[in-house]
Amino acid sequence: MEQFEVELEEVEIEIYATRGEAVPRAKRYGIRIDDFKFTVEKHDLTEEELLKLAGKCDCSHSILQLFHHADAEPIKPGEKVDLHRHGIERFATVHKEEVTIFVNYDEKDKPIQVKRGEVEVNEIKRLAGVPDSYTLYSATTGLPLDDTASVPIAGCEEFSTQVKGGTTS
Amino acid sequence: MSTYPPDQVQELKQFCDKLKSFPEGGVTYFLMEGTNLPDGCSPAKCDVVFRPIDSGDGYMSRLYFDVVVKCPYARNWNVTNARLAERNWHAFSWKVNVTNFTLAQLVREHLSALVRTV
Repeated sequence: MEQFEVELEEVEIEIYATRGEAVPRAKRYGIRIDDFKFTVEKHDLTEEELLKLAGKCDCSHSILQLFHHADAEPIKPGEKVDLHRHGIERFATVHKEEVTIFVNYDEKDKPIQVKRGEVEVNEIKRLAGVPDSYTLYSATTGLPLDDTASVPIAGCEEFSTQVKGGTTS
Repeated sequence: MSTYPPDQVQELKQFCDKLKSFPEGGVTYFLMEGTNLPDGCSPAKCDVVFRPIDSGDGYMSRLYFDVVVKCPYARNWNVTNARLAERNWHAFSWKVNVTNFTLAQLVREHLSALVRTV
């Protein structure tokens, strides 16, 4: 006799993981990221989609899949998490050690990788290929930055550049 | 008296709490109240008057501050107590030679001089 799998309205994957049961097909899935609950309408999600739900971005954070009674597993680039996969209990965001920031130079936004923390302005310019004849500006405040000063980097920061057009007299 | 593209004038608002223009001696000045100064400067905020053109002093543009700003590098504050809009203002010597800067780019250039070696 042919068997049909019943599609439930909504399931919370954490409950099934705790019970050690497979997650059934459903129209909506309840998931937890850090301490917050979300409802999604599909069973396969990218890291980017999960981060967006959590209000974070992949330039500063990554996502771990946490399995019931098992280790945490990162999501590989381009991989989709299948919520039906046995044992996924919840997700946790992790602040990356190496983050991405963006420098607009020569009318192009250039992403560069830096270690999180205090980074010297000269180092940001060097990594982005910005010549000494340009000043780096915080895109958030619009204010210029001293080449020899350090700026706190948490990830996703944006900077602009402008040619140095003046001199003391 | 000069008039400026409205979008360029709007852009100046990013630097300050309140922006207004005033004419003096046939020149349009911009009073930028509560202008944020770069990190490393003291105070972190002050009132600024921006003059986008040469008014005869040999400077193509000029930024006047209501206080002498303490900054990481010594600047030649060669204007003290200049009288504009019935207030006293101070300015350091900084000549901007680029001619195609927008108003905001000019202000950025003058502000960057506070945190630049040269």
